[in-house]
Amino acid sequence: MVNLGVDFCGIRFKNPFILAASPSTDNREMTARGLERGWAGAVLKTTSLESEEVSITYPIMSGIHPGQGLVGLHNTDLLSERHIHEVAKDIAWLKSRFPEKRIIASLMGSTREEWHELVGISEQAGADMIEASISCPQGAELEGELTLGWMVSQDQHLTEKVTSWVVEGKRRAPVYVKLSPSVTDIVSIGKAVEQGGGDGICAIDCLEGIGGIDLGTLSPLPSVQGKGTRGGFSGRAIKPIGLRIVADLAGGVKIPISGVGGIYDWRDALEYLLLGATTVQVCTAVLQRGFGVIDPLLDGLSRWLEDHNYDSPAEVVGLALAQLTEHGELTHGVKVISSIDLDLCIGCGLCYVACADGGHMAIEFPADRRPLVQEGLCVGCGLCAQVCPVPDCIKII
Amino acid sequence: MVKRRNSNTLNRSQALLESRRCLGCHNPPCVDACPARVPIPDFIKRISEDNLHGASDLIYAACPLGHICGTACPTADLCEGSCVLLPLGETAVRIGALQAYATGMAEQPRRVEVTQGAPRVAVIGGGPAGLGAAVQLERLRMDVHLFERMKELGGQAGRVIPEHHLSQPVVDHDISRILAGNIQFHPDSDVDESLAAKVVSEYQAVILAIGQQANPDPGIPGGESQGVFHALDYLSRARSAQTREGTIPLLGTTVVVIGGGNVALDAAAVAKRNGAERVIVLYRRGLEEMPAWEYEYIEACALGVEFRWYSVVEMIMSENGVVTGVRIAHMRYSAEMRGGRRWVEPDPKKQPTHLDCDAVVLALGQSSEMNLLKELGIAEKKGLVAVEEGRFQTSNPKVFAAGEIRSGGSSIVGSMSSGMKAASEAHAWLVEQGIARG
Repeated sequence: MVNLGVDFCGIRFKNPFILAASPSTDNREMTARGLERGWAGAVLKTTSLESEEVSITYPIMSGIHPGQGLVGLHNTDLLSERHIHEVAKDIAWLKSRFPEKRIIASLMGSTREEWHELVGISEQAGADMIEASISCPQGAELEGELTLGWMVSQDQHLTEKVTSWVVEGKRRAPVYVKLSPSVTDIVSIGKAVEQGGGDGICAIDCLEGIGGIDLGTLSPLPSVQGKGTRGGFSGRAIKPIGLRIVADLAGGVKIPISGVGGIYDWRDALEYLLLGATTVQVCTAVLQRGFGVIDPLLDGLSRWLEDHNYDSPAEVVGLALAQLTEHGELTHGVKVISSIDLDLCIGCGLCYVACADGGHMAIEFPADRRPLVQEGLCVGCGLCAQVCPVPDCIKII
Repeated sequence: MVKRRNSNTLNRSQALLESRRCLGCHNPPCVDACPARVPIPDFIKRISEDNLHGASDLIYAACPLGHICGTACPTADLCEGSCVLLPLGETAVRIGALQAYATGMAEQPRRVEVTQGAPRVAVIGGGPAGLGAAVQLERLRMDVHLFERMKELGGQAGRVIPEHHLSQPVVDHDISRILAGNIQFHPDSDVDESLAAKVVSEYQAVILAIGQQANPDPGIPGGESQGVFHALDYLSRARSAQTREGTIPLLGTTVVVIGGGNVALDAAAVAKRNGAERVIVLYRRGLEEMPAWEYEYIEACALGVEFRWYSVVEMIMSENGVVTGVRIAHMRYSAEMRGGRRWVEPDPKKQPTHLDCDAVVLALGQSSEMNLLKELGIAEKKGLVAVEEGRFQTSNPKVFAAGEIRSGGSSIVGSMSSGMKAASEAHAWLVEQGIARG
């Protein structure tokens, strides 16, 4: 068994898997169960000073699930309705029970003084790290101004300013900043965190979205008494965005990154590590499947590392970045084509339809339902392999 | 007799798709239905993540005969029969096939070293119960000696179940994993009445897992005629002929099989597949009371095996000592219940009838060799070893009984997990006695 221990911002974690700030970590008993189950640390649900009015409207969840499973979860949740002094008690309680696990306080303030106070209380309670939440899609308040519809982390200068406030407030606990993917240039935001003195970055927070429309009442989803609002979209579907943001940050900043966004199984987590994340955080998979998803995460990651002769997850951080390049740098002019394994083919014809109407009309589908790739027409775009319902049946070679 | 079901094999594409169908239930009913409590949703999740070694490790930890059970378990009556997808009108997740797939890809287990000076424990019998016991004792770091009277391990799993249900390579797959460990295997070692006392005195604990292979005499007049066979003998000869690619002996042109269990239906199917023109199963009750698994019945019907219900053979007829037919008494249900099932009595409205045949297969159940128990002074009860409810220790505190000798007819997985539990109980007893370290 590989030792999965990793360092993030100078703090040792038993493994790279951290529970992200979410309803799962808004309750100390639940968080304790997660830590017992094997998670290396938990980011408690984002909290604020008592002066901050937080009132969640229910329901907060809608989702998209084509076919089996939940592809994405849309929520209109807010920060915790439990304020800093109450959460501080949880921090102390959890630290006393799990001294070897990492408890991270996720904070949201609106003025320098508020941030100092929040950080001070958290440190005093025993928090190992501070997460500065400046990326909540539900908006924030800055120096008394509501920033509804946009976030601190969408502005380079505000990001640097707020980061510096948080850092000023700390004595011991490293500070990392959670960033939104909804920006035009993530590297400039990452550099702003660095400039502000942040010890690390966590990316990505949810994407802003609208959950859908109830076609009976015309209310956006989730519907609260006939009305809905913008919210945050998370889950499997956002992984490619998260991977891209983490890779961009890894190439542009020096401080360590905790990767979040659509991690469901160990392969997702490993992909984040390979693109530069040091630890990963998981939220939606836990909301859907419970804390137990940690077992196959640990097992799968450990086996892959062992099979590939790595002694630690740290050894693979950023390994795939060397193969991430600009389009112009890719090898041009290599002919590949679609190859269909007729022993596996079930004769559904989906590859034929996709190629005929979205590809290059290169697949024939005769009466015997055996698709035939016309090598002269096939450019190897790969669409057929994506629409094929049978794993391994179509390969682009 | 060991019960099982047929199952086909999955390729990677099928396994991935099938694995995605599992909902990953909380307190999964499939696990509750599994005698070995294989963590089914957990291993299926690992298959879906392309972590096959993780999947097979989970399976083998709970079920050392994982490949055999995945292939031959009566899953429709166990795990798959409890799948929550069934009430949705969907088919159950093909748990057995997924288990067979993952275990087929397993890597060799890591050896667990025997602790120096570990207690010596003998396991008598190398069938599913003995194998389960031996593996569990090995994991508990005992010095395990496994005695089998035949050359090969596997018991009825390897000798009796027809090749088309459980092929030899599948049996060998699990047996070779077990033999790769630290168990001292003693083949061709029949621990009979003369040796039993010696074994019990030389070892610090003994697991008795000798199963049921005796053929009790059903006492049907004419049973000594030429052309009368015991089902287990026939199945065992057929199996060994198949394994060596030999010819399965032709029983006769018209074969009568007496009995309604899985052994009866297996024998009927094997006879029909191997040259018999007509195979007729005679069973004393109706279809609804027949103990054989449903899939065995469906398979037999598909092969053209005939069934005569409420039929008891009163006499086997013969000419010059060779079978010529059977005389059948016709039954009806009586008010009496025996063993939780309706008993039958002769139907006064019906006269006995005659059926021509040139072979008769007796499949009226098995019993245990009781001489060994008598020799060891172990108390018995209704033809089985007497143990307290839910326990395995016999009247001789050193001796623990597992499998069919303890509880009668069972499935492979049931016998195997009985062996594992008996081993754990024996280990706990050794610790209690200060013989083994806890």
